Amino acid sequence: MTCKLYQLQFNSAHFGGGSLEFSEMTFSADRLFSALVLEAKKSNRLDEWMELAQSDTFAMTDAFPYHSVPFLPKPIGFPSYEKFDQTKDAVTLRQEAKKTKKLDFMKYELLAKFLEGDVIDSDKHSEQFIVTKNRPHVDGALYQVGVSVPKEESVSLYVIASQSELFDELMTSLQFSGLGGKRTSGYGRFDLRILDLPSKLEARLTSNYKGLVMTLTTSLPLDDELENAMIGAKYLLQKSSGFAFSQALAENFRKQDLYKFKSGSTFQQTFTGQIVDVRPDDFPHPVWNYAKPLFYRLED
Amino acid sequence: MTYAKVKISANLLLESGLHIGGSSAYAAIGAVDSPVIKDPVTHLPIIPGSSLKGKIRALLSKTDYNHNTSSDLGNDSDEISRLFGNSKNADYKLGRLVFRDAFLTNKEDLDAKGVHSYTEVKFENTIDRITAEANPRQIERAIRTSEFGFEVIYEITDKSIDQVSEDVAILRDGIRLLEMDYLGGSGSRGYGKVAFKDLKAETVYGDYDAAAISALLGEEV
Repeated sequence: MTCKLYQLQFNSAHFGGGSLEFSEMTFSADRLFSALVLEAKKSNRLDEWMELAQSDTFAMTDAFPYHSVPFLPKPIGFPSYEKFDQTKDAVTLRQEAKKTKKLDFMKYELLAKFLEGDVIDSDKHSEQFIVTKNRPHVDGALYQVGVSVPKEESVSLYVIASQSELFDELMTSLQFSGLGGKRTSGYGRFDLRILDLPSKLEARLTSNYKGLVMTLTTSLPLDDELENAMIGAKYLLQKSSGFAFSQALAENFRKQDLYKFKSGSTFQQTFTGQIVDVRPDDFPHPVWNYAKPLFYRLED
Repeated sequence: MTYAKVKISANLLLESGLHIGGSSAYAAIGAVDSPVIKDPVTHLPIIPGSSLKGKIRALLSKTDYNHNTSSDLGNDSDEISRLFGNSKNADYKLGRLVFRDAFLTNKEDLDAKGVHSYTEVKFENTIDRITAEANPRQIERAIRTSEFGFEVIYEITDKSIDQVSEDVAILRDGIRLLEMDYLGGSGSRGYGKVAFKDLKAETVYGDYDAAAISALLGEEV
């Protein structure tokens, strides 16, 4: 299956990272996947969609910024220590280390240079701010919503995914439902454009490679792969939890907490990953959490 | 199998100054006591979708469509819940309507009219009944004749297809009620008179003939 670049142009969005008050700049693949599941369910194509998503050929990445070129996450644990120019004085080295620490995303063309020890300035892609809202005539009904707004009109987000008719269709219809929190009051609506991947980027995408790779999806190996995957891996964990949205029950239940490897985590070899069922106990239907990776080859 | 999304859009025209308060930290510190909410990137006034949704729902909840006299939104009638959502009702956890933030659309026209700024500062005061002492205040307003792009997405599924005309009529009544009422703060002293111009519907996803919806929206109440 060929991969395409799905460019999502947001006006304003709320991508909560565990609270309503703060919004993150991008979102992970599980958020998009769950939105597509709900979208597929509404148009009665849930089985078809689950079959496609669970097939070995389907892959999807987290969202990263797109500003005239695609950006990629910083490979965690890189550049290695010996790549730093040790002739510089200690103050400059500290400053550069801080700069590198604060870097989240970089232009994909710069990744090779970054691995060689280049210091890259981080670009600001979006503005995060907080709006206070209220329910009048009700005591204590003040609340705050964190909102992300692209810094410039030309900044958007993108995901890479295997193209298929069904996926395109679901993404098209998702534009009008929106993505993220507080969708019915104005946040998360986007305009979709489907672009070809830059060939240099496409050539490095892999899901089966023995060698240094970086995951582009917040993902989790299968249980029997886990031990192998963690050998020599440099990663961050990301918690994924919250309420399960369901129209089958009137009460709201919490999903089972799931910890995954953040996008940008680096591994010595690829793994398959899984779509995890995180349904609460005695829940009437499965609750899927997408954790299948797509890798970026870091070696030549 | 029906699955369609209909975009209902209009030009929202301000017939008097509009004040929707913002969090004061970000908009023009020190200038005005109570600033209006603005787009942080362009610094133009906006109308948040939540203000439109909340106001229209609140107006409709006083009509015959609703029989809920408590302040608890969870007790709202099916007609209201299915449009706006009800977190306590399994069927309507997510409503059929998706509101959008309304952005200023006629910046160029306003520029051509020679306005200096897209918001005005209105000076008001309170006069004490006993001492007759004045206590002045300043309030920022989005200026009259500003136009905003109003947009709502209405979702049609198998479950709702028989209720389309009823749903649209409710929304239309809500919009007409809003024209008779006010949007934003300080409405009882003249702020926030709005008019919806060119109310129309078009299908943006799926197969559905939106002509009937458009006709329904155009009807006077």
